[in-house]
Amino acid sequence: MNDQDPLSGFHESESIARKAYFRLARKNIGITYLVVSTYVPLIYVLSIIYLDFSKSSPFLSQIAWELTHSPFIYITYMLIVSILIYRLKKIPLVLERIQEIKKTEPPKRTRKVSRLLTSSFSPLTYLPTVIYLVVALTLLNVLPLNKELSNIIGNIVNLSILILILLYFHKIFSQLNVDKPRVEDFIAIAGVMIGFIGGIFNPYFFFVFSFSWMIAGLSIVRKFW
Amino acid sequence: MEVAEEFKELMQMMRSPVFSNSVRVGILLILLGVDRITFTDLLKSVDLSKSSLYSHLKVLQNSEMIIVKDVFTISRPRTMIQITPKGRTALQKYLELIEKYSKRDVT
Repeated sequence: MNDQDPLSGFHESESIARKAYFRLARKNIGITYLVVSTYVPLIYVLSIIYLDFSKSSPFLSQIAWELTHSPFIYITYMLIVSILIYRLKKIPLVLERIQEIKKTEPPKRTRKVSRLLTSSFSPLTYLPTVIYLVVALTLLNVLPLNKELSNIIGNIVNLSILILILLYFHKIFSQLNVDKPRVEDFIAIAGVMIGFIGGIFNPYFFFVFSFSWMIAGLSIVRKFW
Repeated sequence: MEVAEEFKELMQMMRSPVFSNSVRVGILLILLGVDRITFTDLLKSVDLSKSSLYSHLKVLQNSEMIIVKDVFTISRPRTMIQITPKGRTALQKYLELIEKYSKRDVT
């Protein structure tokens, strides 16, 4: 690198870093898919325990009821996903810095505004807010909604969280510029749409979402572990 | 005059064992984005042999740019590589100089 142009050496280093970031980001998205996919089956199993063990083991049944009706499991999942996303938080910043170095034109005036918009809607800021709202509203029993309406609102909130997560990963991958969306990503997106739209009418549709994310997660983790 | 000074500083930096090699700079860039990484993950991410990667890490470790330590995880002991504050500062300086060089190149 010594006798070369400093920029050509830097481009080599950048390509090494991009490859590594790509692998790590893929690995994390695979784990995220897998973790999220276990939520619906877990709630289903707890509901079965609550219904089937209500006479033979009331204590176990009561625990299952408490778990399914408290935000504890939901918050735990949100925290795990937040940690997985948090681990990648610096990658977009480094990539932006690299992009800045490679850019020959002066920065556009709208850049600050767009950065502000993307950062305020990133899952990193969104997820803790949702967790806080879920806890606060549940504890204070503030929302006087009927069951159906609260289910629909819950579905919309969950769907928007999942879409934001997918958009965040998409943002990282478009910055990495090394990979197009893979089959697994399309399976996951289709699973979210079918699962959540169908889930409004029939809860069993949530298994479509869960199953698709499990398939996508397993496939990615197997390739990039 | 200032531009010439910065160019001189960049060239001086690029003569150091750390910044004279693109793989080492690449490793530091990876660590800037993820803070720490296991040896296995790093090996799978860069197209290098085990011994070659070890030698690059040794140079970075001797220059106090990274810390290499063995940690115990649930599955097995792992070699963890972490960037030091000195490494972070040096890389930031390098990026700053490269950026100035890149912009100067165009005009």
